[in-house]
Amino acid sequence: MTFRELKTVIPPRTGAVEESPAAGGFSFLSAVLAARKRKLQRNALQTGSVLVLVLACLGYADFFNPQRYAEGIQGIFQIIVREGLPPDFSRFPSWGQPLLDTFAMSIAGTALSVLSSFILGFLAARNTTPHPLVYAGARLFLNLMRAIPELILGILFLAAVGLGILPGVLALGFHSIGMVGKFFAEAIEHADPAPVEAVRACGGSPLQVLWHGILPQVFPQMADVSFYRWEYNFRASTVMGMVGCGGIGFQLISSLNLMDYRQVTALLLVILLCVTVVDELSARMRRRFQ
Amino acid sequence: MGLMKNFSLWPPAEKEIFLSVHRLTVEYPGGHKALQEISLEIRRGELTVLLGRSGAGKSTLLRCLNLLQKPSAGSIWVEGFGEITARTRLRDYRRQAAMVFQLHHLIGRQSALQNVLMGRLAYHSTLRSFLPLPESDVEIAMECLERVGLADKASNRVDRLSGGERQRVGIARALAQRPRLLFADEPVASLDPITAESIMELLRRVANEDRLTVVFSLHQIDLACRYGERVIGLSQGRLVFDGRQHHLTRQQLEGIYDEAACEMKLEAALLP
Repeated sequence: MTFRELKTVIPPRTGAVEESPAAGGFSFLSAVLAARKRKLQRNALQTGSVLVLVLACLGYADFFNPQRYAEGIQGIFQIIVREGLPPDFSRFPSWGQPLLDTFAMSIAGTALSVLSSFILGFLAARNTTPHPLVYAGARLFLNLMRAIPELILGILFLAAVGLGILPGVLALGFHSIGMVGKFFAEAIEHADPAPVEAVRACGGSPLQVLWHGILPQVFPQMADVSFYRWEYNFRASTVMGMVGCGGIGFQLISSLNLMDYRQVTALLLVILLCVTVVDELSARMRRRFQ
Repeated sequence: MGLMKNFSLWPPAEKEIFLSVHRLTVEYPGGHKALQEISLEIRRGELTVLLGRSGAGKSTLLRCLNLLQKPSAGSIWVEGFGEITARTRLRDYRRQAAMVFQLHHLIGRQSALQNVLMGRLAYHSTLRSFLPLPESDVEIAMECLERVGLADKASNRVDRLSGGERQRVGIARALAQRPRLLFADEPVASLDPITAESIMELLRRVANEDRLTVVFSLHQIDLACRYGERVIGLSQGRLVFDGRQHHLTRQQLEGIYDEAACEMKLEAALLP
């Protein structure tokens, strides 16, 4: 809002501060104060409505019904503490292969998505797309990949290519394209156009402009997103095991079905350890690419 | 139209003419005319300064000269290339017509050397340039950094360099192209006066050494008078002066700058 508009909206207050004759009974101070007051009121209103919405949703989900918890908490306590402790690591030697499977699945799936996103990202960025139709098509594909849950993709690929970690790799790969490709495209769109123009000015071909003008700028963001996605895919690959795509998740669901809860807690601890290691590795790699 | 076609077929009569612009017009969508029928000829080895206020059309004209900006009408002829259009050997031409930008247009997180190597790209096929460039290019790039006095900072990230140093890297990148023409768009506009002076000195020196044909745009009258052999005055997209710098009179300067508001500047800058 310009100051002129402010002046017409807000009638001047009467008081000691703004009685300067030069401003004709109107001062910048009173305008600023009035605008500030209205802004504070608006903020309070917005915060209030978000709070009401959150409470309404929690109530709708029966979150505030104490009866629902009375037995439930006891049941959970029963499973975890009485039947789940101490963790049973007796079958630990046979988890080596499934853990390797899970690692391999997450790395291969992430690599698949990063490689495809690298090309799709340039097609789905406004400033580098060869044609608006290609742009629209690429964006649609990315949205589609994001919209299909990876578990559904896992079941589909399981039916298509059979057992093993391959369906898991394909499911993680395709689902991840949705998010990784979108982030790549956004990074490309936010690249500084100045060096891009410099490459054009020194006689670079269109592909040289992408490779030497844009890529060096967006590379850190791309690396960041890729490693973050690896973290995510490692966690997700344990879930993939549950639908039959192999890996440590398959061991987990088997123990759950056998109601061997001491083995379940042992597996959960092993997964926790792996997730921590992957997070730390990924954080170090991301720092290196800044 | 017919006249322009003829023009493009026939090189300018005078032998020394290196670059020739004929009735160049740039009209932006919405009808704003950034350039109106500019015609001028640049002789080989000449150091020309485009002088004018911000928005007078200096940048647009320079950007047209290597077709970063597409003219709405008119034509540009360059010796050895003929009329420059998007279809002629544009990459070849741009390789020989290096550009130095006001805000240097470097990639901040890359080293000075990597940025200078960018100037070698047009010497390689697209496919070849996906791989690291050959060592001979690194030698050329280092030699260019040496010439601008930054060989010791070759592996420093550009965003850690000062404004003057960045502009030197920009100049080294232009030199790495081994150009015949050098365009510089307000090369010192964002530098302090002392640094600006040293950058102008450097540009003049390398232009002399490599016998480059040079077109600068500047808005500082004093710099234009001291460094330009020839001054072209632009005002509101029109050419209002074209001649030797010592022929610039107060009246003409006022034409370029539209009014006498810059009185003090003129007093200080006008040659006796």
